[in-house]
Amino acid sequence: MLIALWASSMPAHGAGASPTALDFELSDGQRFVRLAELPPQPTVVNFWRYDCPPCLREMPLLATHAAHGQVRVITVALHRPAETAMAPSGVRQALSSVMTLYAPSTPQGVLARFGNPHGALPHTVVLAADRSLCAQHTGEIDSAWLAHATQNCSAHGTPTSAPAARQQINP
Amino acid sequence: MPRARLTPIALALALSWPNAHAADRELSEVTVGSGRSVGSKPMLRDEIITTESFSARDIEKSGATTLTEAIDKRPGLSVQTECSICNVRNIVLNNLPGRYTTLLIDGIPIFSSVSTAYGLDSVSLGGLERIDISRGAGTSLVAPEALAGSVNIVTRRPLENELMINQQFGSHGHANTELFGARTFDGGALTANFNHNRHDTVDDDHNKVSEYSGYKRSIGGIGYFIDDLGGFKLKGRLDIVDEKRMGGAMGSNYNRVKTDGTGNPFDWSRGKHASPDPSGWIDPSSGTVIPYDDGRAGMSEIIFTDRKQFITSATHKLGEGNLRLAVGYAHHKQDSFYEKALYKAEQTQYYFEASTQQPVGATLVTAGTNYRYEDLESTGTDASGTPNDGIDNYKYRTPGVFLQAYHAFLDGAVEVNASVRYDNHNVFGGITSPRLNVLWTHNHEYSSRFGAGRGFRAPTSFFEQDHGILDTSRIVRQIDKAEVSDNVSYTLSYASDRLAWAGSLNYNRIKNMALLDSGATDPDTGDAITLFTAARRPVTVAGGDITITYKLTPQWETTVAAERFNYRFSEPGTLAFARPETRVYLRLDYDNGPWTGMVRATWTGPMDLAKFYDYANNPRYNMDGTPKRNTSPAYWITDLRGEYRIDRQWSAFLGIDNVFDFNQADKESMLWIDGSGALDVTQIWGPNRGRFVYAGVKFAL
Repeated sequence: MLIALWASSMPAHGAGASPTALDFELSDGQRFVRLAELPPQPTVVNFWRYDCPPCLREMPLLATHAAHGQVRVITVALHRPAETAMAPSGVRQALSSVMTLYAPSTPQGVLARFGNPHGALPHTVVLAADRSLCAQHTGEIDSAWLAHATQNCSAHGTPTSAPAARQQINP
Repeated sequence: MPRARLTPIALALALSWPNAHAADRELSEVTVGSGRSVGSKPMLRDEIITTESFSARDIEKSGATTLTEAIDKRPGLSVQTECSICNVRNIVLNNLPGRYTTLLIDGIPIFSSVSTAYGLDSVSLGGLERIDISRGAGTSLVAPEALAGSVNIVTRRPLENELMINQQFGSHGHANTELFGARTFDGGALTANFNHNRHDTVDDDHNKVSEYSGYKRSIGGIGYFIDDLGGFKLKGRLDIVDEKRMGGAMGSNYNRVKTDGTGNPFDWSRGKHASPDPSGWIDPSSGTVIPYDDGRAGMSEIIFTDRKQFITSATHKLGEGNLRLAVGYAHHKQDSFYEKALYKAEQTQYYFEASTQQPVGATLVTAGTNYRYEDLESTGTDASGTPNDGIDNYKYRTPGVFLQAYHAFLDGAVEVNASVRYDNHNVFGGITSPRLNVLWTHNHEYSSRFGAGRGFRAPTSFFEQDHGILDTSRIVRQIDKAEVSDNVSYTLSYASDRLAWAGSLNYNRIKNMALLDSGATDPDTGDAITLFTAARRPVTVAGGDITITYKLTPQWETTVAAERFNYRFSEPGTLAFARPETRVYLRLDYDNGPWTGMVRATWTGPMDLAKFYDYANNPRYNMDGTPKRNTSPAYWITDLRGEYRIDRQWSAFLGIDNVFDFNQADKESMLWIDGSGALDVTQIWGPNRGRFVYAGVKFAL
């Protein structure tokens, strides 16, 4: 049973993805969201906690960036959904315009996979359209870094000959 | 192009403190310590030393109102009640004696044997960020007496103004009021907390002798955080505790109970294997009834506890590293009435620490010194009124130095932390305590932690062995060596997006374990004396545990855990309380929108009562003269709790502990009779309270 559970939880690489494509299967509170099954697009993934001051400071920046529409922004909260309600109102407002997912109760694996083995926060990675790691930063980001990273990453990893990934998110 | 990651040493500078338990700190850009528990599960922190963390939310979700409730019912961790009358409780790590667990607050060891005897229930959970638990000797660099491990309470630094009010009511006259307030300002914050917790005595077998002590407890405290004072970052807290508890006689009229010293107000014919006669119990040697005639006072224990404690720490950048200073002070008073014997104790503790952490090439070196002072002065009388003042007095002074080195190998895949400390105890002399910890990160999902170390503990007195019962004329000390524990442990952990598990193996070997024999007599006078000696042979406790957590759906998460321990001891009195070989834990957590819920079931396997309670040399009998059980039955305890968040400020909750109302008293009384017909109160293997229902509301601004 353990092996079956383990095998079923391993994230699968999407069709046409590069061998170094990152993936996760995280919950938004209602359903599991697999990164590989989202439409291929440059993606900013930001790890945060409700009691991490620099995490809260950069949230409006991420929301503004998401509104531009050039990249997808996903925030991964290292706390429970109920604790998101305890974040300041400005942060909650910012979260409404990005995809908010929740890390598992033991987040070491997903953090290490996304370049953060020591679990420091905040931590931001930028993935190219093929989900390869393009840029990352541990610590508070600024608009200049985010703009530069997403601009560079947008030019990388666009699938050409590979078949399109499935569009539907697992129910 | 990816930015360069923080190097292991840079993060180690942020993560590692001399005691490896310091609260998280915020650097200019990075807040460290995301490896805390997320959601409702304890999790292994991303530290070299295997550390389980329970967040404030996890503690709240379990319905815990005290530290002991917060820690109980988890693999490798339990709370052991050691007296059915006064309910003295200890936190037990790896099933080792509770006195080997060291309690720290923000990394400062300011608790002693005196204060933990009844003080664990009085540790405030107000303003708590999390509780970190590390199992194994020497896991705390500043507290080498943590032979079983350490429990560190980490205070939360508020980020904005807060007000929290939590009001709970429950069975048996229970009420718990909790207030917490925080005020932030530019460069710091102040906090204040208050807790009042009360509970009636509980007598489930209706013999009018309680199994669960009643109490009234008030705890208050203030805290401060100053981000920059002359370059120092400070934090500190002051806590005041006032508790009154009574067990044995029912109710809370302490003075009336103390003066009620004749007659029989109890019913010895009630309960399992009860006496045929309500006026007394059967003498096993003769089969006749021994009448009871000492009134309520003769079966009651009344303890008043007053405690004040203050801790503060300051950190400052020093060169490329840091300087840390810490101070702790505690004054603890206990005023006890033990079945007509009186005991009053006062204890003072001081703690000073200075340490620095500096990178030396690719190695992070921590060096420091600390000084601990602990004394105890007591006055008292035995049950006949004969004074026995000061027979357990002591003054311990322990200066020590410590050195720790951290180094990462193989591009950070292997991290090694080695430490050694030397203490010069004023009674037990010089003691060296080395420790080695290795964290090997195999890949993103798998990691191994290996630890080996030694700790020592100065046995203080008869008091801690029997929580202050001094019905003796004098203590004969035949102990001249500290208790020493050697520990080896290994943990393999796996963490993916939905499945996580951790398996641990622990081996603990304790030499010179302190022993108490309160049944000795003075050969010249025939008076009762107490021998305080040390075991001649080592005691070994070895075991393993595994915890598996799986997220079934976005709303449901399940945890399955089990532990198995083996005990090797040959001298009675070393492992003086019964322990199971096997426990199993099941838990289901629900989280969906405004609803959260938890149900957990703990299975405790049989315990070899005959071995732990030394029936061979000291057989135990029921009130009806029949022998006590050789083995306890296995049993389940099931708890559940649900909470509904009404809006951002209000939430309501309802919980039931011990849903199926299992109580040891239904199977076997905690009272026992020895071969000469004397009564004692320590036949303990199961819960001392049945079903407990509680509900409340919480308001948070």
